This record gives sequence, C-alpha cells and structure tokens, in this order.
Amino acid sequence: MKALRGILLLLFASCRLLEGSSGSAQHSLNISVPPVCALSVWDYSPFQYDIYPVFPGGPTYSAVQDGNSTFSISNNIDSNRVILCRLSGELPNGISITAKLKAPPGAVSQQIGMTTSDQIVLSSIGMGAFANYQIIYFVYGDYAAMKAQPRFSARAVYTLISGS
Amino acid sequence: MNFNKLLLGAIGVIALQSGALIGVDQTLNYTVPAVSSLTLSGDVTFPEFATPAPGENFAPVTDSSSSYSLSANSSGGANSTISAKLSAAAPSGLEVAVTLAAPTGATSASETTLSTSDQTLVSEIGSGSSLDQAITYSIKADLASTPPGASTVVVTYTLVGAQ
Repeated sequence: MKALRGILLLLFASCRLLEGSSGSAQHSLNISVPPVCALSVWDYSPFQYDIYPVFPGGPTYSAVQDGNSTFSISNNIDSNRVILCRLSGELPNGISITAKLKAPPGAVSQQIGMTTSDQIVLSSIGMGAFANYQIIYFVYGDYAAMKAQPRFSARAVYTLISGS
Repeated sequence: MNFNKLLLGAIGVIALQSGALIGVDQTLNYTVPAVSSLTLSGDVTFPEFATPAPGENFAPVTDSSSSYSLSANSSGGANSTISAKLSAAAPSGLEVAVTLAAPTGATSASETTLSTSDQTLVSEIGSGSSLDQAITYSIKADLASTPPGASTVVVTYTLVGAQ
C-alpha cells in the first residue's frame, strides 16, 4: 500500500495589513439662492411739522427738518439698483418737501424736490444688506403762497428697481 | 485557540486514513486586505434660502438628513481619520460647513467650514464598522456676493488609515 503521506500542517499565519490605505466618497449638495430685491421704510409716524412765521414782517418762508425716518435694503440681483421717490398726492400751495437719503457704501444720493412723479433719489446701489439708513426731509412753507389750513399729510412712495 | 483545534483535527484525519504519520510541512500564506471603506447616504438638496427682510442677510440653512458608514481595520490602532474638502471652490459668497458625528471612541471636530483643502473632521477612529453616523451641513450665503441661482457643490470625504 502506497505509503500515505502524512501531513503535518504547520500554519504560519502571515497576516499582512496594508497600511496607509484610504477610501473616499462624494456628496453632492444642491443649493438654491433666490433673487432678493426688498426695500422697507420705517417712518417716524405720524411725523408732524408746524410751520409758522418766525416773527411778523420777517421772512415769508419757514422750514423744518426731520431725520427720524430710515430705510433698509436687501439686494442680490445686480449692483446698479436705484430708489425712486414720489409723492402720492399733490401738496397744498406754498408747501414743498425735499428728501435726501443717506447713501450706503458705493451708492450715490441726491436731494430731490418731491413731486408726484418718480425721481431718482439714490442710485448705484450695490448688492448686500443695508439696514437703517437715514432719510432726511425738509418741509418748506412759503407764506406768500400759502393759505391758512388745517393739518395736511403727505405720503412718500419709494420704489427699488434696476438702474439699467 | 482555533489554530490548535485545526491542527489536532488535521492530525486525527491523517491518522485515521494512513495509520502512519509522516511529517511534512506546508506553509499557507494568506493576506488580510486593508479595509478602509467609506460610504455616504444620498445627495442633499437644501431648501431654498428664505427671502430675508429688508436690511437683513440670508439666514443659514441646515440639513441633517445624510449620514456616513465606514469599515476600517487599520493596523495603526485608533488613528484613522476622516477628512473632507470641496472638489471645487464654492460659488461666490457661499459657505458650506459640516459636522460629522463620531463613531464610538472617535473624536469629532467642531463645525468646519469646508475649502478645497482637506480638513480633518473625525479622528482617532479605531478598527471596526460604524453605520449611519449623522452628517450635519450648514450653508450660508452673503447677499453682497451671492447672485440668485442654483448650484451644486461636491464634497469629497476621505477615510485614511493609520500610517
């Protein structure tokens, strides 16, 4: 009988770990940014002006200033936004109002005599969030043209649009 | 212990079949591969940034719907790490920050704003497997430099075994 081969198994465990290995995976993040073009005005309301002569025989006009109102803007559409300003209705004879807005960085402000037509009061407004910038009103009363009258109110309408 | 049982079993079988013992050596070589596997749950679609009030910026948006799982058998002890980076620079004005929950025994970094360079998010990871560890993303957008639109940001995670 063929000699059977005996086998003595001597096991050498050769465990070799490969060091410095790495595995990787990727995540896709889908992100959506909406267009933002928002304007708000905080009015010191009801702001009131009393216009009266300084003294008899003195100047025929009087003016008061108010700087208590503010506006805020958020915009990410372009860097050339403008703010238009107009009055919602006609002013009484002898009364005129000018408005001037403090300009955020990079923007250009101009004082306007307010009418019922839109006028640019702030231009070159860039992208960003600008909070609580001052609005300054001057209210003029010309006694030569004014009639005595009870209190009246005027409403300013502001619009933020593209300047291009 | 298992080796001893195997050896005794082999000797017993041989003895039964041959009735004789002849000593011959055979060397069995085997290799345990390094395992360094990292998987992620599905991609993430964030809700659109909420329109801010005038004068305010976008509020951050967070997402905790995704997770990762890993298997590792590094020989270097509990020294594996997970790092992450953006595959390309994020769109202008956009920031992506992430926090990874750590497997037991590992250490998680605090919220990290991602860039195109690898940053370690989890360290001291030991050998073993860990399932469904939370990933929390936070994205921020600056109105001043983030135009409207949709974009996709790809984050690459790497599990590195100890050296």
